[in-house]
Amino acid sequence: MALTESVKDIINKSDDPLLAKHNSWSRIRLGDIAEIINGFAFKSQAFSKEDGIPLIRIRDVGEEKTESKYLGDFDDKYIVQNGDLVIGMDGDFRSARWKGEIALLNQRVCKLQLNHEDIVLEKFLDYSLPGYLNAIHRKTSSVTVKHLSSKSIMEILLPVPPIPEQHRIVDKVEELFTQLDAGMAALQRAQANLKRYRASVLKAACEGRLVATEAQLHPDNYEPADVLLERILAERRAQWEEENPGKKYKEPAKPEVEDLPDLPEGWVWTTVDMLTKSMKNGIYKKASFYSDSGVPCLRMYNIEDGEIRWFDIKRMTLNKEEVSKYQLVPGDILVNRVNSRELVGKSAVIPDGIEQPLVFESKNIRLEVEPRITHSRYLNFWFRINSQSYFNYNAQQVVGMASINQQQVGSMPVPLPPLDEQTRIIEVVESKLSIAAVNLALVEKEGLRVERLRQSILKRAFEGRLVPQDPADKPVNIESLQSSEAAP
Amino acid sequence: MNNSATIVQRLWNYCNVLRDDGMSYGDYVEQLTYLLFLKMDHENDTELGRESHIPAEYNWPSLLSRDGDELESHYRELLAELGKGAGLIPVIFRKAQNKIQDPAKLRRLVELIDGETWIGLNIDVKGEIYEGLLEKNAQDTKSGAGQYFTPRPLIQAMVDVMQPQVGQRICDPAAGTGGFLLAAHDYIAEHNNLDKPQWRHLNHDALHGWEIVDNTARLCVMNLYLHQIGANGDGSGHSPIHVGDALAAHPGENFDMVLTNPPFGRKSSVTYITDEGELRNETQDIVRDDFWVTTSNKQINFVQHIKTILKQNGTAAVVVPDNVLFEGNAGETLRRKLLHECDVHTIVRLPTGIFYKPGVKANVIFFDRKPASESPWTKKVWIYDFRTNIHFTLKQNPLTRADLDDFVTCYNPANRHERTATWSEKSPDGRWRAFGYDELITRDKVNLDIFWLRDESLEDSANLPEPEVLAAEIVDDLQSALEQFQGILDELGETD
Repeated sequence: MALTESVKDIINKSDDPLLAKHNSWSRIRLGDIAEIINGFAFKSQAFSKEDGIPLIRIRDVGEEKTESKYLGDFDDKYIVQNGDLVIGMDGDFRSARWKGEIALLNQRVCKLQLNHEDIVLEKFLDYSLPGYLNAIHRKTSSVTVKHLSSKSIMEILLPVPPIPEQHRIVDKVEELFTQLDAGMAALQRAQANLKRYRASVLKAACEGRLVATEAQLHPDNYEPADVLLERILAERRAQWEEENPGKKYKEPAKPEVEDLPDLPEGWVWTTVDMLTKSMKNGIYKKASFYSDSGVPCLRMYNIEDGEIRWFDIKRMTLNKEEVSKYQLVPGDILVNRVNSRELVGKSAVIPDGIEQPLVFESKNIRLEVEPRITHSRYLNFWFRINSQSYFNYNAQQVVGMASINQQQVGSMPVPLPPLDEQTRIIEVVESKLSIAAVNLALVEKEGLRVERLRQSILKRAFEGRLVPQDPADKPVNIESLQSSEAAP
Repeated sequence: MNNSATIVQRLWNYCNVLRDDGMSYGDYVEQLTYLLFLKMDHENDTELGRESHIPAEYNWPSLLSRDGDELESHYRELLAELGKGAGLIPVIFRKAQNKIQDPAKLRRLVELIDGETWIGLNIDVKGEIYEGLLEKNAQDTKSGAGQYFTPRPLIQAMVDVMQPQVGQRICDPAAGTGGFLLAAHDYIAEHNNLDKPQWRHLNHDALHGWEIVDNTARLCVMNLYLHQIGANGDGSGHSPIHVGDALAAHPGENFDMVLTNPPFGRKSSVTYITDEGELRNETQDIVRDDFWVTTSNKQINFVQHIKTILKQNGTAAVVVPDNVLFEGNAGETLRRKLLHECDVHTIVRLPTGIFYKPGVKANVIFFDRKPASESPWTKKVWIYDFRTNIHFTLKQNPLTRADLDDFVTCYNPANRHERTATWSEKSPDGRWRAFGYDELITRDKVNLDIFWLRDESLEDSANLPEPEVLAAEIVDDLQSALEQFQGILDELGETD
């Protein structure tokens, strides 16, 4: 086995609080009060998904159902009942009470049967055992996977408070853990709701329900979005025709308004085509062009939750022409065009103050936004709330990856408020989302802390400080058993 | 006779005048209670020719005839004197204090009240005015007054399914401002043609409450009194409300029905100073021979207490927080005993956003007390999930009685042994479902906090509520988490 120290030494030398004991308690060798039944190497030909008896393998420890079933003959001694304690002997040495129906014990899983509940209560064992298994795990070296031997388990020296004290400890731990579990569940719900809150704010923003409309604030004195749109599109067309004499101007895609919901006053349905000056797919380079120096390049991994994530930035060796063709400037929007179906279409705005030059990789499309009609950040709010469902429907599927093209992106309808209203919307959304972000981070942090609280409660329990000692309690009688350590 | 609506308006307006002086709704309602009582007692004398039970030197005319500082000091003396002794009057005036600083404003309020004939006013109107003030008071959540006020639609639904009968003795051991007792009273009055002896019983013998906070007891008594409960028509009647801690001991009498919402909030605790001069908080256990388990958990103790004060086959409906249903140790013992010795037949999971205390996750449990038996009395527990995917708020989207119609129908008060589940494998969204005793008793720690509906919060669903609704849910969840961890902190804090 790959355990270099004896279990006894591990325990004695350790300052791991979960291996502690109160100084009035003794320790007992687990092998003296329990027996281990090792699992059997059942033949995999007799495995089945549907029929036969459930077969507990390492992956099933802690579950209610097994992944596989067994159809062949077996010896009764490998039977596991609901409530039996099973331990996985490879990997993370997990221990748990079996919560499923009658099952069989496969190899590399063992069953621990306690024979002396007059010395250690089953529930006390449940709370104390994992700490010892983890300590052994930490001291086990491995090439690939760590292995636990039943001999090591037998050598574990469990602390034994008097039985009444064990009851008190178990009761108190249960009381605290039920509350802790409830608190944790509430935190998880808060976390889920914070994400929904984010979505709800964005939805309200793009449906005109978040801030007062221009029509409400300045009824006779604002430029409706459709008027602005017409004006700018006309300017664009005129300019293009001037630069391209004799050629036919390609009109931007039009939205199919009849199928689209009504908009608030002053708003108009547009398409991404109308709102952008250009679209371009990113640069593709072979792996040899990636290096430690070179131009930073944003790939699809750099877009997450509607923002650019500045980690794991790869750099490319490029010439001047390539850099200038694929350069990003603040205000550009990146849209990811190839990814799994759930993620394709995710987008982010290039923020101010970036390191220049900055380019983008072929799996992303750069949108050059028309600032006279729309603010990038507003457009991106719409993408965040709408792209996933829109592209989910439209994307091409090829071998597990979905892809979208510029034409599909361009024809996406976009609800557009007047320009000033977009500014006000952006302010309110960013304020609310920043609060949500802070709280989300807080909840995630507290979630981690809760797990540490759980360990800390157990630590106090094993140090004998969770419930008081009672001098009237009779200490556990271990003299009849060998190899134990009496209290000093 | 004046239009009752204008009276209400006048009272409200005057309340605002006093609030500008820094007076809270709670204080206003308290002062109004004293003055109204005095005036009505006086009207009993002048309008109905019945004897007043307030000594002449402290009666209404004694206030009316004074002004300025003399009025204020007389009022203070009057309040102190009337709080002494036994009976209904001292409960109303117990530890009473004047909170109206400005004698001119006191005079104005006296005149305002004097200008009306209250005794002639429809009982409902009086009651409504007072209840309206109590509700306003409860809405002022920062004052904490809300914890004494169970939402009226919930009370109404509970009474509608419990169906109190003529002649029954009904108790609320955590009476608060009297909502349950009033609702039971009104139910009996409305569903029966009562003769004189039955009215007498209803108004004087049927209803009993315990309330530990003086101020709240006062409001409760007044609330009942305005509905003719506890008054012998002459103000001398015994108080239907006992001021004190119901949990301290068995009251020596048993009841046909208990309807109650014990206070939410931390376990009973005592703050004391150690020998080293440090401030320590110690949770206090309640020790009673007739209890199943000794614990400091207030709500668990109330449930135990309620079982002891029920008659055999008496019925109870109790609002309890989630902890009573899932907490380990004492909670588990309580659930095992309750399921065995009583018939726990119905649980309703209540939505968040209906109580005046934020973050409360509560349920109503319905059970009947049964005689001693070897085998458990509970055969099936019916659960109505009125929480998953349901959102209310106090102002924008408050709970109404109609929202509980479906529950009342499912409960089937006409015969609770003939119920039909709305849940099945084919209709997994049904909110009404039964669980057998055997299934429940084998659950880990007999956890009765059971739910089966898919929670939209935990899924990416197309159905996205408004931002405010979600923000309120987040607040509720964080408050709820806070409650649990505060509980753990309290437990750990008391050991060294």
